[in-house]
Amino acid sequence: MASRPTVTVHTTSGEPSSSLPLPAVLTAPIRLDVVAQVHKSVAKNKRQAYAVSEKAGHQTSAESWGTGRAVAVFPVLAAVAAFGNMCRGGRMFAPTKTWRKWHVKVNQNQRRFATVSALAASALPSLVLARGHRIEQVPEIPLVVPSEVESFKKTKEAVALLKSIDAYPDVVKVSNSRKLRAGKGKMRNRRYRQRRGPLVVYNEDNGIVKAFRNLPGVELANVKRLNLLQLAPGGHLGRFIIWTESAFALLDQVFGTFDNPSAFKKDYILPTAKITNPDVTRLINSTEIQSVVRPAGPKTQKRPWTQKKNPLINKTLLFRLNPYAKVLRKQELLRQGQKEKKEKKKGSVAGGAFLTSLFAP
Amino acid sequence: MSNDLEWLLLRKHNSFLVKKASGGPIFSTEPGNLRNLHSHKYSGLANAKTIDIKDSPSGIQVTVNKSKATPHQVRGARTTSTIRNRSGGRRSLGVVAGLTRKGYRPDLRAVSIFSLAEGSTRVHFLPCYGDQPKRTLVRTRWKTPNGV
Repeated sequence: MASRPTVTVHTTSGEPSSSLPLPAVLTAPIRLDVVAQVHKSVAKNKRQAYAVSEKAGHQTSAESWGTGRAVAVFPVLAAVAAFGNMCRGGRMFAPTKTWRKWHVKVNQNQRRFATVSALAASALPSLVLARGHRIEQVPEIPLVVPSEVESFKKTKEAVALLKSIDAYPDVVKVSNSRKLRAGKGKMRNRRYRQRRGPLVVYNEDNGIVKAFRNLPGVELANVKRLNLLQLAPGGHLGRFIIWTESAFALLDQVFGTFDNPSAFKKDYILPTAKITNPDVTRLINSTEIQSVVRPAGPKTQKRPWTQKKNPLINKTLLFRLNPYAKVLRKQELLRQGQKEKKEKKKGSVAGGAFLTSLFAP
Repeated sequence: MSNDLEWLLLRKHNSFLVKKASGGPIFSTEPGNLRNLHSHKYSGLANAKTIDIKDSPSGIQVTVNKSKATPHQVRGARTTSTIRNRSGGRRSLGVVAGLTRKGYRPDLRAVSIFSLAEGSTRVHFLPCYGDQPKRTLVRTRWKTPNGV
């Protein structure tokens, strides 16, 4: 195997300094479907219970008039039906209850698979671009900054760092995207909507959280507590992640490798891809396959000699296949000719003398 | 990373997708997409080699991917050459045609040459009155090749 790919650590002034080997998690299989499905279920676990009032639509003194009054048996208030879901002022159909099933259980291995997939996707520049992050000027993805960033105390320092590694345009994008939310959410502490910015992943919080958290769209997470909702917001892969060096170095321990189990998750080994090389074009063009396949034919398929003809319709083809058919056909034509002649003779009209007397005036 | 897999991951949803007319063509706005069409061939994201042609005040900018770049590089993975203003048509065409002649995306030859021709004509958006067309090409240097 070739030497393991490395990732450069960029200093706080943006210059490349040391390098780290690429953790195995970032080469894990990327499964869009797993991430979307797990995200859909996990996102439900933060919901708060709600329901209509138990009494809604039932606060009337309506009673059924019983049978025999030429009115439906339905409870009635002053000859107007009440209660029913079809009634004006009535209760809703199947009133919502607070004991609805709000949470969805997802298997632990599935959750881990989704997290690992989302992490692997965050290491590919094209997927991070496709998610909408402004990373065109960033030197490298995954973007790793030195561990001293973890002890940043001031937001001013954080901004200077983001500017020096050219990650600041993504924060600006978030800031510009801030819009007033549509609907009632405005009065329920969700006044604004905005995009998501970079996710800063650290190993130890020596002030980094407070330094970064006031920047619009910037979120922070500990390597040991990575969350799918932050790694793939909306179920869309490719979150822009800024790693601190110590957090990045810890990834192989947190998620394990393809051979060694994780140090923090019991008996957890990274999922392996179904095919080792997903580069289909490369596979098709490989010598192993090209040496076995038949040579490519011409682009337009030539017909053997001519257009296929139906011998039952085309006489030439019929006579070529069955020379006796010609004799048969000739005989048949002759017979038909004779028949016609006979019929002509047989069908004689009445004589001239008879006709003149018939049509005489 | 396999471009085929990347395309499968981007195909359903990405931030550059433009689906405006229902049943109409699906467009894509990422840089490096010569026809702005949402397809694997023209995608500026799911291809290791792309050609981006852009007009700028200093001239037409042609951006291509460096062959030696690692898959994780972003800024350093591209290289831009500028065709100065008022340079002749044959010179600018030669830049792109030269790329494809060296085996850099020969499948994009016709499209890239057309884009270059388009980029060098100044496209002006004039206010629309009545039946006037919205977009008026003020100056055209080349005729468009057929079928592109």
